[in-house]
Amino acid sequence: MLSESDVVRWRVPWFDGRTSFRDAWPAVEARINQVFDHDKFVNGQVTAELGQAIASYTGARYAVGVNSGADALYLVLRAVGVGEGDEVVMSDGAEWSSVAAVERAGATPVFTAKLSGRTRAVLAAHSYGRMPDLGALRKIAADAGVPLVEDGVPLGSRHDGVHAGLSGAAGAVSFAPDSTLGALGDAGMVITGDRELATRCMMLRHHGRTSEVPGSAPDTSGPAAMVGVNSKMDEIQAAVLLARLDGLDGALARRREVAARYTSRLTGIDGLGLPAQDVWPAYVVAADRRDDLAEHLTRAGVQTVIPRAATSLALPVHPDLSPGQIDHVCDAISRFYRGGRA
Amino acid sequence: MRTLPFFPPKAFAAERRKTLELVRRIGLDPAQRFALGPAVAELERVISEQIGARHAVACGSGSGALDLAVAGVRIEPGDEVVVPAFGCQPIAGMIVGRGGVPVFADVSAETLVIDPDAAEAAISPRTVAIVPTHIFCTMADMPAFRAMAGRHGLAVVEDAAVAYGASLDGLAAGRWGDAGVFSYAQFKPLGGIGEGGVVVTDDDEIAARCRESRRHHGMDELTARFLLLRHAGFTERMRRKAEIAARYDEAFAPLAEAGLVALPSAVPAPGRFSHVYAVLTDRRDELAEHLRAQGIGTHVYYPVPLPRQDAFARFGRGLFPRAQAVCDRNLAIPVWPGLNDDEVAHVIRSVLAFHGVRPGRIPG
Repeated sequence: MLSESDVVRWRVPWFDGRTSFRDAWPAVEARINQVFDHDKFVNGQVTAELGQAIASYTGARYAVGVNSGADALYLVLRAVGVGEGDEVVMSDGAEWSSVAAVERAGATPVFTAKLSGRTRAVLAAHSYGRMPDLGALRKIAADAGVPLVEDGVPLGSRHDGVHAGLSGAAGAVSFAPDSTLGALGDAGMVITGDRELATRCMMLRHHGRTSEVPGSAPDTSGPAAMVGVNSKMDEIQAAVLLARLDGLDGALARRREVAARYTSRLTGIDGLGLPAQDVWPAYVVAADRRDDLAEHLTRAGVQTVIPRAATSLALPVHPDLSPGQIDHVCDAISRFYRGGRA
Repeated sequence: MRTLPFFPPKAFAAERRKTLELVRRIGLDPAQRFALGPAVAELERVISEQIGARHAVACGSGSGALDLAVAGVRIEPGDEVVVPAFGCQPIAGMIVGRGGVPVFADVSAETLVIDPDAAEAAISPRTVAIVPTHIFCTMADMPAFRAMAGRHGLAVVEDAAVAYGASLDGLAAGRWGDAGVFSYAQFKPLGGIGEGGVVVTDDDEIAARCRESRRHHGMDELTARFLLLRHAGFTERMRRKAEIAARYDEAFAPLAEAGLVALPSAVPAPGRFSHVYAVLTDRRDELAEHLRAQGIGTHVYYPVPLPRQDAFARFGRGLFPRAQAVCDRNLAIPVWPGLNDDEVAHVIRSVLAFHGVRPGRIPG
């Protein structure tokens, strides 16, 4: 979706982080200089430090940096034993990326809470910051005797004091540029309280090698205990993320202001259902004539994303979105439902 | 003398300022493109021109590129693919990842690349592809594998992860296969600032399937910009590595009697390039310890044959005596372009001294 982004073309692009980036640049520059000082550019000290910082921020005991959010989910699924011929029960909010990760593991996504002898995991998706019904899903997982896995975990999202991703076996975090904590490219992380699961993810992210386990010989390209992949985090992406982590709570607050302005301007429009949540990767409305609305907004220069769920449409939220841009989106939506022109 | 680590130290020091500027520009670029954007397209163009391939498809890692190539040549669940018993895990892992069945073939004792006779013996009616892998400093016998693929109707996925810039019989590494794969990880010949890989192919359909499969596996713009930056010095760096390798060859030749074999030991050595410089010796661990005491780092690539690793044991029928011997006996020594002549001489002296030889004159 981001590859379609073009600030020049869109009056309200899906993502535009230039102002935040400019503000964070001195911290980013200092961190990247550390990467050059350490002289390792993949899965090095800065990635490890980011893991500690994210563990501390979320309350997770273990945080394993990987190459992308999609890989984070794939590795978690593999680490909990999902494989060829298995089924994964998916929550309604699961996006196409979750489906792809399940299929990549050789398993079949099942979109009803229908357990079978082949059910190997239950997947709770945090779609655009909307909390899945974790209590219900945890019960389904417990009844089946399989782990609960959370996907699409937005940094900063908590429920009853527990950070998203930590209600079950593990959570998959994406640090894609448009995430609440975003890199300048692909990066992701597995958060978990399970030491063995974390260890398996560490091995899986580097070809399944046992040498990924702390304490093993550094001078060999060691043998593999399991069939893995290459999914190590780039140190420069880790540096960008660490530099931005200090500003995360401020950025989340600005996203809340954006969402509040959407809500105040869009309340009372017939045919439009508004979201209520605490953390805002996007502002997802339930829209009558969704596809027509999306097209109408495109013509008005507003870049949106169409989620997997039937009537929902994701409106852009990012910390640098201006009140004028939000008002432009809301005016266009009002015109659409009043039957006016864009 | 400074210690000489195995992997090149501070290899990107000269690019620090430029890299910071690249990051700043990408962050402030109005287009806000972070992956699979114009820089990736430009890198693909440069690589396809360099290699002479019709298509280049960039993605997030060398393993990822191999995965795309496996999808590109339509390896389906249950299909058998002949792969070498010695090498890096993705050679087999990316086959298993797509549901395929790796069938291992033993390697040449002289060059460590997959042995054509062993590979042909491993072909069954279920075989759909072969993955000849270029290892250390030698390309696999690609004419033999092309002919074999023709005889048996197989696809060739050429694993040129370590062989960007190499050639055999005038044809670039990567172009011998139906699809060829390069890795641009930090310590590969064209090393990047993060993981990256490319598939090259002349086949429109293979290229289209690779592009389709990479949607969630793209290369970052920063990685592509950095590789474009580093591409300028590539030829000179490889020239220096070849020069160092030639000095090692000359100096170590007399040690053959003492049981130290410098690779490749085949003469002539078609498809030679200079990525990893490795020797074979029964006294591998002692030599590594001796060199460590002299401040010289070494590396053991792949101490266990792939079919003997737990990950692949269920595919590991048969015996692989040459791969096992190579795993037990190989030791790689530093060959990075930033080594100066005194340092090269120090490495040579240290290896000779281990064998009780005092050099009269260090070649070079």
